[in-house]
Amino acid sequence: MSEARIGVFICKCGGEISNIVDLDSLKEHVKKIPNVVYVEEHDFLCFSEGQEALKKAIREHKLNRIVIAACSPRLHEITFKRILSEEGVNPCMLEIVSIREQCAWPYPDNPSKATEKAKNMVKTAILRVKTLEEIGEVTVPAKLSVLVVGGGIAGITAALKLADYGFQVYLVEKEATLGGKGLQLGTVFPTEDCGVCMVPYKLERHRKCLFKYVELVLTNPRTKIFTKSIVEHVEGYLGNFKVIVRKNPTYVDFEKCVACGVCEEVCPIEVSNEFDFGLSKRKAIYMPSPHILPRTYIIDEENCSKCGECEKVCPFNAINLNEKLERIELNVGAIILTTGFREFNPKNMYGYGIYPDVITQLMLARMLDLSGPTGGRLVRVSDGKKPLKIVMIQCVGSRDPKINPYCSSICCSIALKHARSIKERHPEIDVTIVYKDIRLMGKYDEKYLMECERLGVNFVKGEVIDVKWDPELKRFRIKLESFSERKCLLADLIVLSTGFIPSANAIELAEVLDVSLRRDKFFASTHPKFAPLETNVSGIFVCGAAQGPTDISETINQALAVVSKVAKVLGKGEVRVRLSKAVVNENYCIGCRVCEISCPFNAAKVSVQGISNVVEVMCKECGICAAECPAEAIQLVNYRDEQLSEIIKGVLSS
Amino acid sequence: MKKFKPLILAFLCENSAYRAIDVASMRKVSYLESIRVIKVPCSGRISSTHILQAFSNGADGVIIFGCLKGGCNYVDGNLRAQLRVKKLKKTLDIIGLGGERLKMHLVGFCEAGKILECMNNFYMKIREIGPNPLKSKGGV
Repeated sequence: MSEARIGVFICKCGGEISNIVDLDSLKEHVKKIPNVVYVEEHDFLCFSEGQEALKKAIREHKLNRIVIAACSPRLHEITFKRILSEEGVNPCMLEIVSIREQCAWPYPDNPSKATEKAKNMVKTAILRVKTLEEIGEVTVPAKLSVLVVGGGIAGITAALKLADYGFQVYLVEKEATLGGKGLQLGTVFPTEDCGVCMVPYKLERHRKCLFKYVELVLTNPRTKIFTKSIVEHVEGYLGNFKVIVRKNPTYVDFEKCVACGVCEEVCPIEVSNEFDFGLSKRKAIYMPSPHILPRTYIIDEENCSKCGECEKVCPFNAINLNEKLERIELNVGAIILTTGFREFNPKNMYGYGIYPDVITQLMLARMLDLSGPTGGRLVRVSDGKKPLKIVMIQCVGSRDPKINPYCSSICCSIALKHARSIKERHPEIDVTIVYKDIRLMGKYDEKYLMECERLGVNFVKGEVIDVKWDPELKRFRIKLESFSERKCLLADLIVLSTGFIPSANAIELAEVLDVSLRRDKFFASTHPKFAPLETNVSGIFVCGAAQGPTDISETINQALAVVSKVAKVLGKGEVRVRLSKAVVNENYCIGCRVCEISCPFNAAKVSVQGISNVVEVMCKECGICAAECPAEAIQLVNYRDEQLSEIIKGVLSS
Repeated sequence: MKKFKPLILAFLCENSAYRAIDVASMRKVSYLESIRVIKVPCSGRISSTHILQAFSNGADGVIIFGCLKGGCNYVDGNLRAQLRVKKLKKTLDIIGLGGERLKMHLVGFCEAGKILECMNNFYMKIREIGPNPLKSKGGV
């Protein structure tokens, strides 16, 4: 490399600096340092005159390294870097010393101290700028395709929008149908429209229909759907992920199936329907709900005896019981995780699992759904009679330090929604909500609380101690403590507002993708405020309930936000990466894997030969690996150990 | 006798503490002149070697500022640094420098008041403890 020609520019900042720091003595001090070929002071370096002066000096004196002593780098670093690159100097050959913030302003009464400190700081910066290495940029081609894992509301929204933007989308869903939890909900807040769109999906783009999207996803040429599939293996990085999807046999080709129902008639096996939480019966070949999409029959592998009756009768040859497991390899540029959540199982809490009349809110949602197993009729599961007293217990399995310490954030709204719709349909039913706190997170949820109060829903603040079945009364006795007072409530039906926990496959998936999870096992984002939807692996995003319980409006917001992120990153068809990265000295590396473990972004990987290797696209320049490496083999460019010790020596010398 | 003025080295994470210092100086609050500042990309970049180097170069105390818990730009760099500092404190005790010469705080990027208070307390503490023993032994 050519010899360092350092230019030092000192800004007066219109007197802010020059009134306190003695710039003449600073200049004299700086001129004596070797390699400094040019020193200049200016009234305002950040103004256009100052910028012109900077450019002119760089050109005339052939400067290749610049030190600017002015305000904090936070303010004008970008401007100065731009000037450098305009003049053909690598923008990283710049060191900004904030003599205004660190020398002039703090010591207005002690100019000699301020000058002393400024001299020291500028000298250190000059020593440092000499050691800086050039940082280049590389362009990596990116695939214009995206993998969406999970076909719930978030996944469908993201897939459809990305397809609209022209990306090829692969949607992987572990169940046989799309729609996720939204399918089971009946009506959804805050608009009280149906979650499953009963008729409207045929009338295309019905305004309020949530699942109009499903139909559009299914028919879009740029979306490819893999049902009953899971992501088995992922390698690569942003722009170039190689994914292997394991596609379990569905036995029914959903593109051929017209849902005529002939197969269901001949199927000899009957079991209880878990989609309706056992409230109804189904065959081994069945349709969980008339409104599922893709509109197809599905075969339950566990219970199917493979007798082949259905295969024989199917008029469209859609059924193939000999279908085998398939592995499909995909190349994608980015991955979106929308694996959603599931209900916490409150086994043995408040009699759940012991008494059939203790149910969860999702079961109640199935019951209230007009197309559900009971046709919208409210019944006691045990005897089919109409319950006259319903008690809802909030915060079951959430806000409990022993189970899940977090607030599931949507259970209050769900309970209020159900209480309201029960009261509207059956004003004679007595509904009581036992709560710790009513927490309504949604924008429009307050109206539910008001409506419920108007309709006469009872609210009791307290904690349930015990639930017992009273055989004489044929009712439940609920003992609770409310404001240090013991109370007893009677109930025909108890509804538990259970909390929400991450989807069953989330942990497995996190291992496959090397993505980190929070302590509550939801996917962790890199920063709760500034990067809420980015995971620690660049190119893998998370949205919807996979990162914590969220309602539908928020889920859709997040899905759209992720789409814009993906479009921004992949849109140009290439990814530009700055190479200011961790680099490995192969002679020193002992292959101990400390870097691999400590890297928060999984950029460092130890190869088969036992040498660490940093994937430049994934590295985010934090230098944690460099600090952890016991052999000092891995170093962060421009924050190398030698460079840092140079600074330490510099600032501590007087 | 001349009053002892400790020389303190502060490592500041450029995402939080360095901004906080800027904010503090915008209020024109003076912070102690013998505190020297080094900007690092993340508090997790500072290894034990750098801290020891600071002591061998004559620092009377080393103070590290990282981001708040959960707010690290690099997921857990601040917590790693904290762990490292905790271990190194013991080593400093053993070699006779004293673990209290090293301190780490987590601050948010707008907590200018907190950062100044931490620095001030640390300064007072070091003044009590006295100068770095390596200085008198000619280690510097």
